[in-house]
Amino acid sequence: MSEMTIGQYYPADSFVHKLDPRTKIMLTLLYILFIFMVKSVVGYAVAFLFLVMAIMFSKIPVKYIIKGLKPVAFIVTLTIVINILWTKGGNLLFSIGFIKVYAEGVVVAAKMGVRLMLLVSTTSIMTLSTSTIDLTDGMEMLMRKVPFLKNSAHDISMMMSIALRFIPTLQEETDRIMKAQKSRGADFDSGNIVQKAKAMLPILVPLFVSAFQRAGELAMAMEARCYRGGEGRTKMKVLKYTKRDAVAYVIGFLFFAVMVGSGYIGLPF
Amino acid sequence: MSIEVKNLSHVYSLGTVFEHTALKDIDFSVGPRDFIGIIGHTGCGKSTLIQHLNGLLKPTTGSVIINGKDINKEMPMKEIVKRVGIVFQYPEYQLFEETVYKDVAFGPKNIGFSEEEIEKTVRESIELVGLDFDEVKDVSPFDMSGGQKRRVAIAGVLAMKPQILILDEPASGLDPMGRSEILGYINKLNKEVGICILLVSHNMDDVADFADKVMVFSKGRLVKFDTPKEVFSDVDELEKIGLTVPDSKKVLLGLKEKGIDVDTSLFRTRDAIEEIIRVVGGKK
Ligand SMILES: Nc1ncnc2c1ncn2[C@@H]1O[C@H](COP(=O)(O)OP(=O)(O)O)[C@@H](O)[C@H]1O
Ligand SMILES: [Mg+2]
Repeated sequence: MSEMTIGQYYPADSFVHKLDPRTKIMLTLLYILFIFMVKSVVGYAVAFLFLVMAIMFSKIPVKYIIKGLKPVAFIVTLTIVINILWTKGGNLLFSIGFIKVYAEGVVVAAKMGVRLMLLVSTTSIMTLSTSTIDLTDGMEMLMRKVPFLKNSAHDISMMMSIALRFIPTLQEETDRIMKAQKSRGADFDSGNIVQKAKAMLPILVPLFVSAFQRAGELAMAMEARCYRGGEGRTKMKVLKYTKRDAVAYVIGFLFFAVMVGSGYIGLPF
Repeated sequence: MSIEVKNLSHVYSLGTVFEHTALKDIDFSVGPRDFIGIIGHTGCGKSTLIQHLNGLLKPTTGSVIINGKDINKEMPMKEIVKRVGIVFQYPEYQLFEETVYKDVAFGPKNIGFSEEEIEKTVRESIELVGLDFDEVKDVSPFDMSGGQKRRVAIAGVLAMKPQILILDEPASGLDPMGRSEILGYINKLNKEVGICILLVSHNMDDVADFADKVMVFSKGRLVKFDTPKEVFSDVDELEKIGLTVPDSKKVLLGLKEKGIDVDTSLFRTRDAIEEIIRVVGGKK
């Protein structure tokens, strides 16, 4: 349960940590755009270099980034397998029965795998180096600039921050309930799938009961303090760009422009 | 039935930035029929310790030995929980079944009791915590009051017939009446049924009134394990680690300061009351 990295903040004093959350979100989006436009090996190398740089400047231990990859390992593997099996073209490398593996397939699969891992890693850096409050604050400010999101920006970010805020609480709660039921002899590890699913009931029921209770109490507490949504609401901590952000933006966009200009990346058609 | 803890230490999140030593070099043994109070400031490691006693947490170093067997090496979880029952803080959060009967029967069923045994033990346990079996057995636990839920949850652990029962703040969040009732039942379990009790509490009066021996924890260490008389004899030492003496003792100490000749070595509420009556009565 405590293995999850997304939504977990890794405290450190670093260049990346001090960046404005808006900068981090924008650059992460730019990076994602970048890796889906990569056309050649050089492009991947540059993308990888960027990742390494970001990790170094964030002072986050690499093992935290790797831990963040674990939950998506299954999806990455599935993507790779599907791409290998479904892509036809190039030389036939080998075939086992009806399964035929082509050179093209291996290349496409490798590309997809690398892209997904780069994507998850950068997103992890963003969430690990930004507290959830800053993250949702940044998203709200950015969404306000988007015409069709403008009016619901506050609500969306409030929902997100509440959801993120309750992830650790719910994890703790699950852990507590699990321990209590284990102490009553509950067995979550053995048996077939049906038995295992049934064994989850003593955890899920109390978990839902307390989650609903919490939600009700939170709503009450917010209303008691006259929460009325985003209208007319001011911020205690106003986000401010600094020189650091300018540096990060310039480096990010410059690299992007140079790569597009030199043809290493471009639209995939 | 005995529990022995040898040289036990526990480190949370070993090898990460969140590394935290919660217990350090704990050594003690508890015999059958003991009533032990466990006190200590918040965060000193009480809850961490009790989770070691039924195998929920594995010691980073050291061992827990029940009846001569190292539980982490020679005992499957089912065998451990048959012997050691834990009632966690706010145990009502563990309730999940549609009826009280089914919920209390969950534990005994898991550890392989027969249908007749289950029926018998569920009835007994519900009555041991002061509820009327026929009245509550078909009620949904979610429709009960806080205090009743708490009792049902305790009954759910009792129904497994543990020889050692560990309770983490069983009375917290209850009204004074509910408090003293729950503690009364726990005391009865110890005196009449002969179950060994380990009671974690931040209420000094509860510990003083019932425990035969008291463990004092501070910053992950067991700093004292002695009779309540001895433990509560030194006010300053207790205050240094964020604890205090029972209210009853505070009253006696206050009276003494005012020049009234009372025996300040007393610490139980009922003894203190008698002492005060004796002194006041004597003056008449
Ligand atoms: N799951 C956990 N992970 C990391 N640290 C923990 C965990 N549980 C407790 N701790 C820490 O260990 C210490 C002891 O906690 P605990 O045993 O709950 O204390 P107590 O029950 O005496 O209040 C505290 O400092 C607490 O923050
Ligand atoms: Mg505790």
